[in-house]
Amino acid sequence: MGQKLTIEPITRVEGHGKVTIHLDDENNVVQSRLHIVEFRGFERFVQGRPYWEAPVLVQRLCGICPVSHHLAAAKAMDAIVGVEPEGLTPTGEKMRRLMHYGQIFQSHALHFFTWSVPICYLASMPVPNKGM
Amino acid sequence: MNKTIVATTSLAGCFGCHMSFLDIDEKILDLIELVEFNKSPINDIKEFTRMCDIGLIEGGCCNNENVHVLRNFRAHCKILVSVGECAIMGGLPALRNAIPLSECMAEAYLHGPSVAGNNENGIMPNDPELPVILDKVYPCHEIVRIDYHLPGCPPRADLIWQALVALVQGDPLKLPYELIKFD
Ligand code: SF4
Repeated sequence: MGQKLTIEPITRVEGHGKVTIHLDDENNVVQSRLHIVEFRGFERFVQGRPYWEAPVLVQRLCGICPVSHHLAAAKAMDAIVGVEPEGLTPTGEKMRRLMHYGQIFQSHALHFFTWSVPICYLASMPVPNKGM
Repeated sequence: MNKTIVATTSLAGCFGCHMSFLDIDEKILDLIELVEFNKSPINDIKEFTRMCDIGLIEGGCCNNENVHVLRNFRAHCKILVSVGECAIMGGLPALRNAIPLSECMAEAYLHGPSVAGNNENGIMPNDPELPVILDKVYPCHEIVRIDYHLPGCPPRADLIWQALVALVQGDPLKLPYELIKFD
């Protein structure tokens, strides 16, 4: 059995993950694996809650893209109360779109300014950085 | 002036507290004058390289790896702060504490609408690399001693900022009431 390299935690994704790279005796890569290490149980514990809580609960799935989860739950609520997508008021539809565009904009800015740029900068510094 | 050394981590949280911290926006320039980061997802330093002054913890403990990381933080940080409801009392993930873990797993991997019918052999995640999930989600102070708690889900950026500045300067935490929220 060869060596195993572990990269943990991976920090440029939301959620908690690690990567293991398995090598053979000649140090060739046999397998690379991405492990999703977190289980929280949202699928079950949102059941039985008042339905209007869902959009606010599922925001907490991900602090980086809470709006996407919020809107997905809003759509599910539409289905529960019997509103077809065409049945949304124009204002409601526009507000959802605006929120989503805001999220895309925020997410790109966040990724660029606080994830990618610092890692390029830090990678050139004498810290034990195994950059991902 | 020697910079204060800060470490941060996300346990069973959603990264929202880290995002709120980054919402200090341009004050990040003042921040790097005040502190230097050691282990943290912000700079991707994965292991402690020295003793730290302040550790910021997001998230409670839902698996044995969280417990291990939290104990490691306690051993390496002089002051440990629970940031956000997840760290303080388990937060939203602790809603599963009233439900058997097996039911939560079954819903996620066997019966939920997106998996039902696609997992005939009833396979659950079982790779030895995966951490062991705990029976319940535990708040950080039940595992190690915690020195300060910053409430909110997430706490406001300004609250985290003011608390951090006070800790760096060794001042008592006198946080304005308007900044504190509990949801
Ligand atoms: S306290 Fe709220 S924002 Fe912070 S990690 Fe938990 S769910 Fe996310």
